[in-house]
Amino acid sequence: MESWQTLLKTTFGPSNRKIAWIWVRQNLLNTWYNVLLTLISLGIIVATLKGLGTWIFTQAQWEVVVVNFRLMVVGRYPVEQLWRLWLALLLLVAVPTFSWGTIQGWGRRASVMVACAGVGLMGAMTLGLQGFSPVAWLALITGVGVGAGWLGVLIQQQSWGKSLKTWLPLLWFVTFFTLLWLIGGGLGLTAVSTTFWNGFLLTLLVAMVSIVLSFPFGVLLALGRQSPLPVIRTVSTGYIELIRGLPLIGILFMAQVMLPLLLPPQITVDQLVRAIAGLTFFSAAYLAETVWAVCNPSPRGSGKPPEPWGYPPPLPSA
Amino acid sequence: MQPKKSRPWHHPKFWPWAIQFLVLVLMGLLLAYCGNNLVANLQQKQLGFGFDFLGSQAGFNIGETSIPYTPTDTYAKALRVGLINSLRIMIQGLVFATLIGTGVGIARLSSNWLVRQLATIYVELLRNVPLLLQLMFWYFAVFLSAPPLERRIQFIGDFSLSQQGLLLPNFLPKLSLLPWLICLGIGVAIAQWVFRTLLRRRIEGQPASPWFMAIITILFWGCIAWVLTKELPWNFAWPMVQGNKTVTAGLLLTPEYSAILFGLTFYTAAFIAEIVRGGILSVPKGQWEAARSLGLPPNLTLQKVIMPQAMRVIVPPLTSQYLNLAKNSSLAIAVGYPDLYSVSSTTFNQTGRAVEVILLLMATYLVISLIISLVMNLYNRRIQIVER
Repeated sequence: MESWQTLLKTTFGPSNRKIAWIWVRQNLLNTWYNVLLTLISLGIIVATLKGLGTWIFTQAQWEVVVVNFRLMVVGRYPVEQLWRLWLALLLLVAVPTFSWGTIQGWGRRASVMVACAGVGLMGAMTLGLQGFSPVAWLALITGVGVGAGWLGVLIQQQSWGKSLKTWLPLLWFVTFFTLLWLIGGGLGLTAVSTTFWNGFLLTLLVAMVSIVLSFPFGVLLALGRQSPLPVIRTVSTGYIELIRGLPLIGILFMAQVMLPLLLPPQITVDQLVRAIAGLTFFSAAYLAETVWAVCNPSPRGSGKPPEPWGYPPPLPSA
Repeated sequence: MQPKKSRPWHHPKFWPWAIQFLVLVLMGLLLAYCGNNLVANLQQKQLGFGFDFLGSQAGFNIGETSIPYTPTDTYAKALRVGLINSLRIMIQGLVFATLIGTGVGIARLSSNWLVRQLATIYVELLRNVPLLLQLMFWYFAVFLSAPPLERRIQFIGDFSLSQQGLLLPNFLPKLSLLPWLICLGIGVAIAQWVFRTLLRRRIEGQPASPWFMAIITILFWGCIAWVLTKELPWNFAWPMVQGNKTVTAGLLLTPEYSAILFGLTFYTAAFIAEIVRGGILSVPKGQWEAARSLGLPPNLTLQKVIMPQAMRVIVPPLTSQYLNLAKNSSLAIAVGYPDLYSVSSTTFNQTGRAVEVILLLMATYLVISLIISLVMNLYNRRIQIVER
């Protein structure tokens, strides 16, 4: 099993036709059943490509995608307020590149990656917005991304800039609420109800918020699970096992229906918040299992598990 | 120096117990608060609590039923139909996902370059696309866009795919299945003993063919069953379509059922493939070499040396994939297959009994999950190394 890149490199030189044949014989035709398998695989590939090709070029109606692109990306978000989403996206590109620049210096790969991700995202969004030149937008977004990274590097090179790193979490914290403000309005901007936050915008938002929220919750549960205190251990383990035994769709259903019933009638919880709560409850349990598995590497048969991370326990054991 | 005064909070056990007590009190307060709100909210909506609604008439139809059911039956009956539908999909999904997953996992280790690449593409493609999307693909793009029955896609004869669904050959068990099962059970038990004895002889270097003799033993007992009952234990029904209009024979899988079965199976199989591959790779290369230097042939090496060690690594993550499959079957609601979750959801919409329906749903899925992990843990304990 050699890596195929090196093989290809050595194989397709002009004088290497013989080597290519040897490679084919060794890797595709070495035994009778491998000949058979190769033929079957070729059949599968040809059939799939043929079917896919016919569908893509003759049957598929791609204009549906083009026409509905804005709907898929931002849903029913009011068109006259779309500039706020653009601003939010600029911020979403600028803050990570800035942080990266501050932490990493001019890490080439890092800045290129962030810029590319930003460009891809923006490219998708641009098509959905009428009246602006897509190229201008792409240029602007890339410019902002690279510029923010540059700024980060400049600051990092100053003597006073070194301590800036410790303030980055605050920047992200503020950015998050600024983003929410830009999307949702209030405080001088027209309010946009969460029922209009749809499409890819909603996917990104819900995923981001529940990933961030489930993290501390999950780590706490993992710590609780290996606590020497029986009550805390039982509660954490019970929660984790309960959630892991239920389907996600059931938990979302529960969050939608039960959460309003468990709170006093005067408090109304937004539908989006309920969905995020359900997702957070769900992924926290899975995260807890992962964290627990990582910091509890007790080898089998070694008796007592070692203290996690080599620290003494936070509390004397009961 | 004055000795420190002993206070109660200086006792080493004071703080742990105090914290636990505090946690208990806080949780109790939270539960009381939520319960209080629940009661108030239910009163406001004029809903009581109780499972007596299960006895009243359901009034909705269920598209696919394995036991007789009409809309005049009770909610309890409707939920039972849903549970049976769920179990059907889970069990078949588990079996097929294991088979396909093992196959793909071994294909990823094949010495054939093309097979290896195909298996990799399969795994990466299916693992990285959300299951819901895959279900939609199978339902709308494959089974619902199939041609109508007159122009069905025929694989072999009337073994075909059409808008009505997938038409498969069917086995209908007869009464003589029982004697057949008894005979074959005895046959398998004896064959296992024969296999073990001969295998040991083979490993010790004497000529013996364990597989051959084991199969002969089972065939022999099959012949005895044949002599006793003078018939096959099932009616084999090859699919038939009469006049391009009606299906007269064969097993017809509805588009909904096929979509959820195919979607779940192929999705979970991709994960199982990675687990199997990882398990086999986790056995150090030295084990292969040691077995070869002892003179074991390759098939026996795989069977007696590699697989037992690989299984120890495979089974725990496999259990969690089985659990995932069982839980993911609740996504059947997206393609309109009436599984337990779908029926419960309809029941909730009609009765408004949120708490009771959710409790029933939770309890059922928990019990199913527990049964799966119990069985797999028992199996796991059997194959683990016994340590001293």
